[in-house]
Amino acid sequence: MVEINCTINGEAWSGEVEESRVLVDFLRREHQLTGTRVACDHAACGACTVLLDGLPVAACATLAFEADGGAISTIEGLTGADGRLHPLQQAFLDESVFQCGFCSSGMIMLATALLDAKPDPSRQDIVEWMGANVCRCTGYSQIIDAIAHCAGKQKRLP
Amino acid sequence: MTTAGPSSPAELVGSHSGFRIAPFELARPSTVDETLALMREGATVMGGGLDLVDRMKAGLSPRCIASLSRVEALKAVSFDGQTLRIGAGTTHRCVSSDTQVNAVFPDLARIWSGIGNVRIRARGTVGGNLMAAMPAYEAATILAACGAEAVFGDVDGGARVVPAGQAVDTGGLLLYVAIAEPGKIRLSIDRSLRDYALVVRGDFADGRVIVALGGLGRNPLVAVGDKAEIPVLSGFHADYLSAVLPRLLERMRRG
Repeated sequence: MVEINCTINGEAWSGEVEESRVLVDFLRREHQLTGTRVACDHAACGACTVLLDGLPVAACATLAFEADGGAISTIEGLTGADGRLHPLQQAFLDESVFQCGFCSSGMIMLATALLDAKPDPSRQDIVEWMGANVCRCTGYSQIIDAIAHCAGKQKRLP
Repeated sequence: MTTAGPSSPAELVGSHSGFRIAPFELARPSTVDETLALMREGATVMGGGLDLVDRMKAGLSPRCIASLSRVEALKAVSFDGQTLRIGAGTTHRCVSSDTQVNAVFPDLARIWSGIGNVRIRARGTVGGNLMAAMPAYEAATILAACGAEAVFGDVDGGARVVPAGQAVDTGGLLLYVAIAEPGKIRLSIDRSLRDYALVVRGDFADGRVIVALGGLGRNPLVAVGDKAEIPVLSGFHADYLSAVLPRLLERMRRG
């Protein structure tokens, strides 16, 4: 076991983790944060995308101890305490982006990192970033539209 | 066949990683010397871990893993007016966003920003990409076309310098890659056959050309000359090269 300190969705956590524990199992099994999915299990599909210190990482291919000293953000942390959805979650609903929904958490987490890095992304930026994640249902265009609309709306806010 | 009992109610596909990683001893060195001492004892080093974790899921079971995440000396990028040095622990993201890399070798920064995907670039490192020796990985091919060298710290002391395109079997700890006179190199890349072949063309100010063809094996094929021509393995690759090299030259000339 190895002792780590990190924050998970803003809350400090200290404790021991098994050296061989991957981040996604740490989150799902030890913290019941089951919004993060596992699909390919090879860091290729993006379903397990979470943010570590604001950067998107594959939680299936990152050992949990590497989060020591870092800040982990998962889909559960996006919704406000009052239950209000994050603008990207709302945009995904508004644009009917969900079908089976399995990829959605990873897509939304990746999109939050995109809008943090580039608040006003071009369509090409969105395609380049979101190309990291795989969706087998929607054909991607709704996903791209939702992110573009969300970015556009944010820009129009005072 | 086993059935999930009441004590393990959530053993569904997608509910957890389906692979078991064998237990290992973890070391977290903070200096190169500490890392080399651990390697002398047989430790396996881990950069971003993307490749190693995947191999451990497939059954590789190192006794001890030395995580390089605290070895700050391996994450340095420097340019002394002559040579650009990129630490082995530098993430792809940091290479492509580094102000010095962008200032002295913008082609490299641009090409590096196309490695893998944004998630891979956030954690994957130059050293991990190079030493994984996976044919489809791009670092060795790109660096070979720059005429770069890979500098290793030897576990018995001393250093070893090898061409970056032939680094994989060197042994020791990869410290950094060194690119001489980056301001005199133009780089162009073709990834249109992603996963099957990758060609990087380096045009040097003195008229030299280096062509590196990756995707075929542990090391890229490299040809150096005034008009570099790679003796290729198949008609397919010959056709690919003869189609793509003039296009890369044209793209480079247009800037």
